[in-house]
Amino acid sequence: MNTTSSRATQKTLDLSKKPVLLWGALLAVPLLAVILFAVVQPIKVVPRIGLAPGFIFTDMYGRQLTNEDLRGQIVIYNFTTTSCEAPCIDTAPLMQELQEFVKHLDTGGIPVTLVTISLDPERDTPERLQAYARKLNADPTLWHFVTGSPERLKQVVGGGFELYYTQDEHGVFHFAPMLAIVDGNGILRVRYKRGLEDAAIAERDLRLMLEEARNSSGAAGLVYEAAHLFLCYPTY
Amino acid sequence: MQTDAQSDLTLQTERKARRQPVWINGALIAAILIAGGWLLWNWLGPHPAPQYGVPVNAGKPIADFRLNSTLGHPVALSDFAGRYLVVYFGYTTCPDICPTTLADLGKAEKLLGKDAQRIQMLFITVDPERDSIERMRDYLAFFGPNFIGLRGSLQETEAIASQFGVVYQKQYHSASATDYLMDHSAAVIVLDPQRRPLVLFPYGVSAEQLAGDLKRVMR
Repeated sequence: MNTTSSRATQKTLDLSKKPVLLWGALLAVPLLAVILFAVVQPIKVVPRIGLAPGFIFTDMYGRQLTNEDLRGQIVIYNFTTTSCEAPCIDTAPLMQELQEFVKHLDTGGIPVTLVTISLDPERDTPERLQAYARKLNADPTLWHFVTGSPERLKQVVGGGFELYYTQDEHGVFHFAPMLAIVDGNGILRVRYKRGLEDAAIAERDLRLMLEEARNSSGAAGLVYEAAHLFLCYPTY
Repeated sequence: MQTDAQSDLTLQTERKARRQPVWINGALIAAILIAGGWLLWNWLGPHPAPQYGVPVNAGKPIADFRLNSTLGHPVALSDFAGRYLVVYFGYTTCPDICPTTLADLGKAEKLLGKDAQRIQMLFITVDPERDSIERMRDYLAFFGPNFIGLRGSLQETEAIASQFGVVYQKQYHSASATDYLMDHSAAVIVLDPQRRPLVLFPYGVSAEQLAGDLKRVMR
Protein backbone atom coordinates (compact mmCIF):
# COMPACT_ATOMS: atom_id res chain seq x y z
CA MET A 1 0.00 0.00 0.00
CA ASN A 2 2.60 2.36 1.16
CA THR A 3 4.81 1.79 -1.79
CA THR A 4 1.98 2.29 -4.31
CA SER A 5 0.81 5.56 -2.81
CA SER A 6 4.30 6.96 -2.66
CA ARG A 7 4.78 6.04 -6.32
CA ALA A 8 1.65 7.96 -7.20
CA THR A 9 2.94 10.95 -5.26
CA GLN A 10 6.18 10.66 -7.12
CA LYS A 11 4.28 10.87 -10.42
CA THR A 12 2.43 14.01 -9.36
CA LEU A 13 5.73 15.49 -8.33
CA ASP A 14 7.19 14.75 -11.77
CA LEU A 15 4.26 16.44 -13.52
CA SER A 16 4.51 19.51 -11.36
CA LYS A 17 8.18 19.70 -12.16
CA LYS A 18 7.44 19.70 -15.86
CA PRO A 19 5.02 22.53 -16.69
CA VAL A 20 6.22 22.03 -20.23
CA LEU A 21 3.94 19.01 -20.37
CA LEU A 22 0.96 21.18 -19.52
CA TRP A 23 1.87 23.78 -22.11
CA GLY A 24 2.67 21.05 -24.57
CA ALA A 25 -0.83 19.74 -24.08
CA LEU A 26 -2.18 23.24 -24.60
CA LEU A 27 -0.26 23.45 -27.86
CA ALA A 28 -1.32 19.97 -28.87
CA VAL A 29 -5.02 20.83 -28.66
CA PRO A 30 -5.07 23.48 -31.42
CA LEU A 31 -2.53 21.45 -33.40
CA LEU A 32 -4.78 18.40 -33.17
CA ALA A 33 -7.73 20.53 -34.18
CA VAL A 34 -5.85 21.70 -37.29
CA ILE A 35 -4.82 18.15 -38.15
CA LEU A 36 -8.37 16.94 -37.60
CA PHE A 37 -9.66 19.75 -39.84
CA ALA A 38 -7.15 18.73 -42.50
CA VAL A 39 -7.91 15.02 -42.24
CA VAL A 40 -11.66 15.01 -41.67
CA GLN A 41 -12.27 18.06 -43.88
CA PRO A 42 -15.59 19.09 -42.40
CA ILE A 43 -15.88 21.53 -45.28
CA LYS A 44 -14.99 19.98 -48.58
CA VAL A 45 -13.98 22.13 -51.51
CA VAL A 46 -13.01 21.59 -55.10
CA PRO A 47 -9.52 23.01 -55.76
CA ARG A 48 -8.85 26.15 -57.75
CA ILE A 49 -6.43 25.18 -60.48
CA GLY A 50 -6.03 28.47 -62.30
CA LEU A 51 -7.78 31.04 -64.45
CA ALA A 52 -9.84 29.36 -67.16
CA PRO A 53 -8.89 30.54 -70.65
CA GLY A 54 -10.73 33.36 -72.37
CA PHE A 55 -12.34 32.44 -75.69
CA ILE A 56 -14.66 33.55 -78.45
CA PHE A 57 -16.20 30.58 -80.25
CA THR A 58 -19.13 30.04 -82.63
CA ASP A 59 -22.05 27.90 -81.53
CA MET A 60 -24.32 25.58 -83.51
CA TYR A 61 -26.58 28.46 -84.54
CA GLY A 62 -23.64 30.47 -85.86
CA ARG A 63 -23.82 32.77 -82.85
CA GLN A 64 -20.84 33.82 -80.79
CA LEU A 65 -20.22 32.34 -77.38
CA THR A 66 -17.52 33.83 -75.13
CA ASN A 67 -16.30 32.93 -71.66
CA GLU A 68 -17.68 36.31 -70.54
CA ASP A 69 -21.18 35.18 -71.60
CA LEU A 70 -20.78 32.27 -69.18
CA ARG A 71 -19.58 34.33 -66.21
CA GLY A 72 -21.73 33.64 -63.16
CA GLN A 73 -22.45 30.10 -64.35
CA ILE A 74 -20.79 26.83 -63.44
CA VAL A 75 -19.73 25.34 -66.76
CA ILE A 76 -18.90 21.72 -67.58
CA TYR A 77 -16.75 21.37 -70.69
CA ASN A 78 -15.97 18.34 -72.81
CA PHE A 79 -13.69 18.27 -75.83
CA THR A 80 -14.39 16.03 -78.79
CA THR A 81 -15.38 15.85 -82.45
CA THR A 82 -18.78 14.83 -83.78
CA SER A 83 -17.08 11.94 -85.56
CA CYS A 84 -15.53 10.54 -82.39
CA GLU A 85 -15.78 6.77 -82.72
CA ALA A 86 -13.73 3.95 -81.20
CA PRO A 87 -10.85 3.98 -80.52
CA CYS A 88 -11.70 7.65 -79.80
CA ILE A 89 -13.19 7.65 -76.31
CA ASP A 90 -16.48 9.48 -76.40
CA THR A 91 -17.32 11.70 -73.43
CA ALA A 92 -20.78 12.55 -74.82
CA PRO A 93 -22.63 9.83 -72.81
CA LEU A 94 -21.15 11.30 -69.63
CA MET A 95 -22.29 14.78 -70.65
CA GLN A 96 -25.77 13.37 -71.31
CA GLU A 97 -25.81 11.89 -67.84
CA LEU A 98 -24.67 15.20 -66.35
CA GLN A 99 -27.35 17.06 -68.31
CA GLU A 100 -30.01 14.88 -66.71
CA PHE A 101 -28.40 15.36 -63.31
CA VAL A 102 -28.32 19.15 -63.70
CA LYS A 103 -31.93 19.25 -64.90
CA HIS A 104 -33.12 17.70 -61.65
CA LEU A 105 -30.66 19.47 -59.37
CA ASP A 106 -31.67 22.31 -57.06
CA THR A 107 -28.84 24.71 -57.89
CA GLY A 108 -30.18 27.48 -55.67
CA GLY A 109 -30.40 29.90 -58.57
CA ILE A 110 -26.84 29.33 -59.80
CA PRO A 111 -27.01 28.33 -63.46
CA VAL A 112 -25.11 25.23 -64.52
CA THR A 113 -24.28 24.96 -68.22
CA LEU A 114 -22.68 22.34 -70.45
CA VAL A 115 -20.35 23.21 -73.32
CA THR A 116 -19.00 20.80 -75.90
CA ILE A 117 -15.98 22.17 -77.73
CA SER A 118 -15.38 20.51 -81.09
CA LEU A 119 -11.73 20.21 -82.05
CA ASP A 120 -12.63 19.79 -85.71
CA PRO A 121 -13.95 23.10 -87.11
CA GLU A 122 -13.39 21.94 -90.68
CA ARG A 123 -15.98 19.18 -90.54
CA ASP A 124 -18.07 20.29 -87.56
CA THR A 125 -20.10 23.01 -89.22
CA PRO A 126 -23.01 24.57 -87.31
CA GLU A 127 -25.41 22.22 -89.15
CA ARG A 128 -23.41 19.19 -88.17
CA LEU A 129 -23.21 20.39 -84.57
CA GLN A 130 -27.00 20.82 -84.57
CA ALA A 131 -27.51 17.27 -85.82
CA TYR A 132 -25.06 16.04 -83.19
CA ALA A 133 -26.93 17.93 -80.46
CA ARG A 134 -30.24 16.40 -81.59
CA LYS A 135 -28.70 12.95 -81.55
CA LEU A 136 -27.62 13.49 -77.95
CA ASN A 137 -31.01 14.92 -76.91
CA ALA A 138 -29.23 18.05 -75.80
CA ASP A 139 -31.40 20.76 -74.29
CA PRO A 140 -30.31 23.91 -76.18
CA THR A 141 -30.96 26.08 -73.11
CA LEU A 142 -28.48 24.02 -71.06
CA TRP A 143 -25.94 22.66 -73.50
CA HIS A 144 -23.89 24.60 -76.07
CA PHE A 145 -21.91 23.11 -78.94
CA VAL A 146 -19.11 25.35 -80.16
CA THR A 147 -15.98 25.45 -82.25
CA GLY A 148 -13.51 28.02 -83.59
CA SER A 149 -10.49 28.49 -85.79
CA PRO A 150 -7.78 25.81 -85.43
CA GLU A 151 -5.33 28.37 -83.99
CA ARG A 152 -7.79 29.58 -81.39
CA LEU A 153 -8.74 26.02 -80.48
CA LYS A 154 -5.10 25.12 -79.96
CA GLN A 155 -4.63 28.13 -77.75
CA VAL A 156 -7.75 27.65 -75.66
CA VAL A 157 -7.99 23.85 -75.48
CA GLY A 158 -4.25 23.13 -75.56
CA GLY A 159 -2.86 26.20 -73.80
CA GLY A 160 -5.77 26.90 -71.48
CA PHE A 161 -7.37 23.57 -70.60
CA GLU A 162 -4.16 21.63 -71.25
CA LEU A 163 -5.75 19.03 -73.48
CA TYR A 164 -3.33 18.29 -76.29
CA TYR A 165 -4.49 16.73 -79.51
CA THR A 166 -3.16 15.84 -82.94
CA GLN A 167 -4.74 15.23 -86.32
CA ASP A 168 -3.37 12.42 -88.48
CA GLU A 169 -3.09 12.33 -92.28
CA HIS A 170 -6.64 10.93 -92.55
CA GLY A 171 -7.98 13.91 -90.64
CA VAL A 172 -8.73 11.83 -87.53
CA PHE A 173 -8.19 13.59 -84.20
CA HIS A 174 -6.25 11.85 -81.45
CA PHE A 175 -6.65 13.02 -77.89
CA ALA A 176 -7.12 11.73 -74.38
CA PRO A 177 -10.71 12.24 -73.20
CA MET A 178 -11.21 15.00 -70.66
CA LEU A 179 -13.93 16.90 -68.81
CA ALA A 180 -13.37 20.23 -67.08
CA ILE A 181 -15.45 22.37 -64.73
CA VAL A 182 -15.10 26.15 -64.49
CA ASP A 183 -16.82 28.17 -61.77
CA GLY A 184 -18.82 31.37 -62.07
CA ASN A 185 -15.74 33.52 -61.55
CA GLY A 186 -13.95 31.96 -64.48
CA ILE A 187 -11.68 29.78 -62.34
CA LEU A 188 -10.79 26.32 -63.61
CA ARG A 189 -11.71 23.99 -60.75
CA VAL A 190 -11.32 20.45 -61.94
CA ARG A 191 -10.15 18.37 -64.88
CA TYR A 192 -11.15 14.73 -65.18
CA LYS A 193 -8.87 12.59 -67.26
CA ARG A 194 -9.72 9.26 -65.66
CA GLY A 195 -12.82 7.59 -64.29
CA LEU A 196 -14.80 9.12 -67.13
CA GLU A 197 -17.21 6.18 -67.28
CA ASP A 198 -18.89 7.30 -64.08
CA ALA A 199 -20.62 10.66 -63.54
CA ALA A 200 -20.72 10.27 -59.75
CA ILE A 201 -17.45 12.14 -59.10
CA ALA A 202 -18.39 15.05 -61.32
CA GLU A 203 -21.82 15.15 -59.67
CA ARG A 204 -20.26 15.25 -56.20
CA ASP A 205 -17.89 18.05 -57.24
CA LEU A 206 -20.75 20.03 -58.78
CA ARG A 207 -22.69 19.79 -55.52
CA LEU A 208 -19.61 20.95 -53.56
CA MET A 209 -19.06 23.90 -55.88
CA LEU A 210 -22.69 24.95 -55.61
CA GLU A 211 -22.50 24.68 -51.84
CA GLU A 212 -19.35 26.81 -51.75
CA ALA A 213 -20.84 29.41 -54.09
CA ARG A 214 -23.87 29.69 -51.81
CA ASN A 215 -22.11 29.67 -48.45
CA SER A 216 -18.65 31.17 -48.75
CA SER A 217 -19.57 34.80 -48.23
CA GLY A 218 -18.66 36.80 -45.14
CA ALA A 219 -16.90 35.13 -42.22
CA ALA A 220 -17.49 31.66 -43.66
CA GLY A 221 -15.21 32.73 -46.51
CA LEU A 222 -12.15 32.36 -44.30
CA VAL A 223 -13.17 28.83 -43.30
CA TYR A 224 -13.53 28.00 -46.99
CA GLU A 225 -10.12 29.55 -47.65
CA ALA A 226 -8.67 27.34 -44.89
CA ALA A 227 -10.37 24.33 -46.45
CA HIS A 228 -8.66 25.23 -49.74
CA LEU A 229 -5.33 25.42 -47.96
CA PHE A 230 -5.59 21.98 -46.42
CA LEU A 231 -6.82 20.38 -49.58
CA CYS A 232 -4.28 18.03 -51.11
CA TYR A 233 -4.03 18.69 -54.79
CA PRO A 234 -1.12 19.05 -57.15
CA THR A 235 0.32 22.52 -57.40
CA TYR A 236 1.77 23.47 -60.75
CA MET B 1 1.61 6.99 6.93
CA GLN B 2 3.13 9.79 8.86
CA THR B 3 5.90 9.99 6.36
CA ASP B 4 3.39 10.29 3.53
CA ALA B 5 1.53 13.15 5.19
CA GLN B 6 4.78 14.92 5.80
CA SER B 7 5.92 14.52 2.25
CA ASP B 8 2.52 15.78 0.98
CA LEU B 9 2.92 18.89 3.10
CA THR B 10 6.41 19.43 1.80
CA LEU B 11 5.09 19.04 -1.75
CA GLN B 12 2.38 21.62 -1.26
CA THR B 13 4.86 24.08 0.14
CA GLU B 14 7.19 23.39 -2.73
CA ARG B 15 4.38 23.93 -5.25
CA LYS B 16 3.39 27.20 -3.60
CA ALA B 17 6.96 28.36 -3.75
CA ARG B 18 7.22 27.37 -7.39
CA ARG B 19 3.84 28.68 -8.50
CA GLN B 20 5.06 32.09 -9.58
CA PRO B 21 7.97 31.00 -11.75
CA VAL B 22 5.77 28.32 -13.33
CA TRP B 23 3.26 30.94 -14.43
CA ILE B 24 5.95 33.24 -15.68
CA ASN B 25 7.44 30.36 -17.64
CA GLY B 26 4.00 29.43 -18.87
CA ALA B 27 3.25 32.95 -20.00
CA LEU B 28 6.58 33.06 -21.80
CA ILE B 29 5.94 29.77 -23.54
CA ALA B 30 2.42 30.89 -24.43
CA ALA B 31 3.77 34.15 -25.86
CA ILE B 32 6.34 32.25 -27.91
CA LEU B 33 3.69 29.80 -29.12
CA ILE B 34 1.31 32.58 -30.08
CA ALA B 35 4.03 34.55 -31.86
CA GLY B 36 5.30 31.39 -33.58
CA GLY B 37 1.80 30.38 -34.56
CA TRP B 38 1.10 33.83 -35.92
CA LEU B 39 4.30 33.76 -37.99
CA LEU B 40 3.54 30.24 -39.27
CA TRP B 41 0.00 31.26 -40.15
CA ASN B 42 1.28 34.29 -42.03
CA TRP B 43 3.85 32.19 -43.80
CA LEU B 44 1.81 29.10 -44.61
CA GLY B 45 -1.76 30.03 -43.82
CA PRO B 46 -4.30 31.19 -46.35
CA HIS B 47 -4.12 34.74 -47.64
CA PRO B 48 -6.88 36.67 -45.92
CA ALA B 49 -9.85 36.60 -48.24
CA PRO B 50 -10.38 39.88 -50.08
CA GLN B 51 -13.52 41.76 -49.11
CA TYR B 52 -14.48 43.18 -52.48
CA GLY B 53 -12.51 41.08 -54.95
CA VAL B 54 -12.92 37.41 -55.76
CA PRO B 55 -10.36 35.11 -54.09
CA VAL B 56 -8.59 32.98 -56.66
CA ASN B 57 -5.47 31.65 -54.90
CA ALA B 58 -4.75 29.47 -57.91
CA GLY B 59 -1.93 26.96 -57.92
CA LYS B 60 -1.06 27.33 -61.59
CA PRO B 61 1.01 30.44 -62.38
CA ILE B 62 0.59 32.57 -65.47
CA ALA B 63 3.21 31.56 -68.03
CA ASP B 64 5.91 34.21 -68.32
CA PHE B 65 6.00 36.45 -71.40
CA ARG B 66 8.04 39.37 -72.63
CA LEU B 67 6.51 42.36 -74.42
CA ASN B 68 7.57 45.82 -75.56
CA SER B 69 6.87 48.35 -72.87
CA THR B 70 6.48 52.03 -72.18
CA LEU B 71 9.82 51.84 -70.33
CA GLY B 72 11.42 51.82 -73.78
CA HIS B 73 12.61 48.24 -73.60
CA PRO B 74 10.91 44.84 -73.53
CA VAL B 75 9.91 43.57 -70.10
CA ALA B 76 8.90 40.14 -68.84
CA LEU B 77 6.60 39.35 -65.93
CA SER B 78 9.55 37.63 -64.26
CA ASP B 79 11.43 40.97 -64.25
CA PHE B 80 9.14 41.95 -61.38
CA ALA B 81 9.96 38.93 -59.24
CA GLY B 82 9.07 39.61 -55.64
CA ARG B 83 6.27 42.03 -56.46
CA TYR B 84 2.54 41.63 -56.68
CA LEU B 85 1.36 42.39 -60.21
CA VAL B 86 -1.89 44.21 -60.84
CA VAL B 87 -2.80 43.51 -64.45
CA TYR B 88 -5.40 45.31 -66.52
CA PHE B 89 -6.27 44.84 -70.19
CA GLY B 90 -7.60 47.86 -72.08
CA TYR B 91 -6.85 50.34 -74.87
CA THR B 92 -6.12 54.04 -75.01
CA THR B 93 -9.17 55.11 -77.05
CA CYS B 94 -11.46 53.30 -74.62
CA PRO B 95 -14.27 55.74 -73.82
CA ASP B 96 -15.44 54.72 -70.36
CA ILE B 97 -14.39 51.57 -68.56
CA CYS B 98 -10.61 51.82 -69.02
CA PRO B 99 -10.11 55.40 -67.84
CA THR B 100 -12.37 54.80 -64.82
CA THR B 101 -10.54 51.62 -63.85
CA LEU B 102 -7.09 53.15 -64.44
CA ALA B 103 -8.02 56.22 -62.40
CA ASP B 104 -9.15 53.95 -59.56
CA LEU B 105 -5.96 51.91 -59.79
CA GLY B 106 -3.85 55.09 -59.75
CA LYS B 107 -5.73 56.36 -56.72
CA ALA B 108 -5.43 52.98 -55.00
CA GLU B 109 -1.67 53.08 -55.52
CA LYS B 110 -1.52 56.44 -53.74
CA LEU B 111 -3.70 55.14 -50.91
CA LEU B 112 -1.36 52.18 -50.43
CA GLY B 113 1.48 54.52 -49.48
CA LYS B 114 4.61 52.57 -48.67
CA ASP B 115 2.98 49.25 -49.59
CA ALA B 116 2.73 50.49 -53.18
CA GLN B 117 6.40 49.59 -53.56
CA ARG B 118 5.42 45.95 -53.32
CA ILE B 119 3.12 46.10 -56.33
CA GLN B 120 3.48 46.87 -60.02
CA MET B 121 0.59 48.03 -62.14
CA LEU B 122 0.63 46.67 -65.70
CA PHE B 123 -1.59 47.83 -68.54
CA ILE B 124 -1.71 45.49 -71.53
CA THR B 125 -3.26 46.93 -74.67
CA VAL B 126 -5.86 44.83 -76.48
CA ASP B 127 -5.60 47.19 -79.47
CA PRO B 128 -1.94 47.00 -80.52
CA GLU B 129 -2.86 48.16 -84.03
CA ARG B 130 -3.75 51.67 -82.85
CA ASP B 131 -1.92 51.83 -79.51
CA SER B 132 1.72 52.73 -80.11
CA ILE B 133 4.16 52.69 -77.22
CA GLU B 134 4.31 56.52 -77.29
CA ARG B 135 0.56 56.80 -77.25
CA MET B 136 0.33 54.43 -74.29
CA ARG B 137 3.03 56.35 -72.43
CA ASP B 138 1.15 59.65 -72.86
CA TYR B 139 -2.12 58.01 -71.87
CA LEU B 140 -0.88 56.21 -68.78
CA ALA B 141 0.82 59.36 -67.46
CA PHE B 142 -2.68 60.70 -66.71
CA PHE B 143 -3.32 57.99 -64.16
CA GLY B 144 -0.09 57.66 -62.22
CA PRO B 145 3.67 57.64 -62.55
CA ASN B 146 4.18 53.92 -62.01
CA PHE B 147 2.01 52.32 -64.66
CA ILE B 148 3.84 50.26 -67.23
CA GLY B 149 2.14 49.74 -70.58
CA LEU B 150 2.78 46.54 -72.52
CA ARG B 151 2.20 45.96 -76.20
CA GLY B 152 2.43 42.72 -78.13
CA SER B 153 1.57 41.56 -81.64
CA LEU B 154 -2.04 40.60 -82.37
CA GLN B 155 -1.29 36.92 -81.84
CA GLU B 156 0.77 37.46 -78.70
CA THR B 157 -1.93 39.66 -77.22
CA GLU B 158 -4.66 37.11 -77.89
CA ALA B 159 -2.67 34.27 -76.35
CA ILE B 160 -1.68 36.31 -73.30
CA ALA B 161 -5.19 37.67 -72.73
CA SER B 162 -6.63 34.16 -72.96
CA GLN B 163 -4.31 33.02 -70.16
CA PHE B 164 -5.91 35.64 -67.93
CA GLY B 165 -9.41 34.62 -69.01
CA VAL B 166 -9.67 37.91 -70.89
CA VAL B 167 -11.37 38.24 -74.27
CA TYR B 168 -11.88 41.21 -76.57
CA GLN B 169 -13.13 41.98 -80.05
CA LYS B 170 -13.64 44.92 -82.34
CA GLN B 171 -17.04 46.56 -82.60
CA TYR B 172 -17.21 48.61 -85.78
CA HIS B 173 -19.30 51.74 -85.84
CA SER B 174 -18.74 52.84 -89.42
CA ALA B 175 -17.21 51.56 -92.62
CA SER B 176 -13.83 52.97 -91.61
CA ALA B 177 -11.29 50.30 -90.66
CA THR B 178 -9.94 52.35 -87.77
CA ASP B 179 -13.27 53.47 -86.34
CA TYR B 180 -14.04 50.80 -83.82
CA LEU B 181 -14.40 50.19 -80.14
CA MET B 182 -12.96 47.20 -78.35
CA ASP B 183 -15.35 45.08 -76.40
CA HIS B 184 -13.19 43.55 -73.68
CA SER B 185 -13.22 41.83 -70.29
CA ALA B 186 -13.00 44.49 -67.62
CA ALA B 187 -11.58 42.59 -64.66
CA VAL B 188 -8.39 43.58 -62.82
CA ILE B 189 -6.24 40.55 -62.04
CA VAL B 190 -3.77 40.46 -59.16
CA LEU B 191 -0.89 37.99 -59.31
CA ASP B 192 1.23 37.03 -56.32
CA PRO B 193 5.05 37.27 -56.56
CA GLN B 194 5.11 33.73 -57.99
CA ARG B 195 2.75 34.91 -60.79
CA ARG B 196 -0.15 32.86 -59.41
CA PRO B 197 -3.54 34.52 -59.81
CA LEU B 198 -4.52 35.72 -56.34
CA VAL B 199 -7.54 38.00 -56.66
CA LEU B 200 -9.92 39.15 -59.39
CA PHE B 201 -11.57 42.53 -59.14
CA PRO B 202 -14.70 42.90 -61.21
CA TYR B 203 -15.40 46.28 -62.83
CA GLY B 204 -16.76 48.86 -60.44
CA VAL B 205 -14.63 48.26 -57.34
CA SER B 206 -13.62 51.67 -55.93
CA ALA B 207 -10.05 52.88 -55.32
CA GLU B 208 -10.52 52.59 -51.54
CA GLN B 209 -11.80 49.04 -51.87
CA LEU B 210 -8.95 48.11 -54.23
CA ALA B 211 -6.36 49.54 -51.84
CA GLY B 212 -7.97 47.89 -48.81
CA ASP B 213 -8.08 44.47 -50.43
CA LEU B 214 -4.53 44.75 -51.82
CA LYS B 215 -3.30 45.53 -48.32
CA ARG B 216 -5.16 42.54 -46.94
CA VAL B 217 -3.87 39.99 -49.40
CA MET B 218 -0.21 41.07 -49.50
CA ARG B 219 2.07 39.50 -46.93
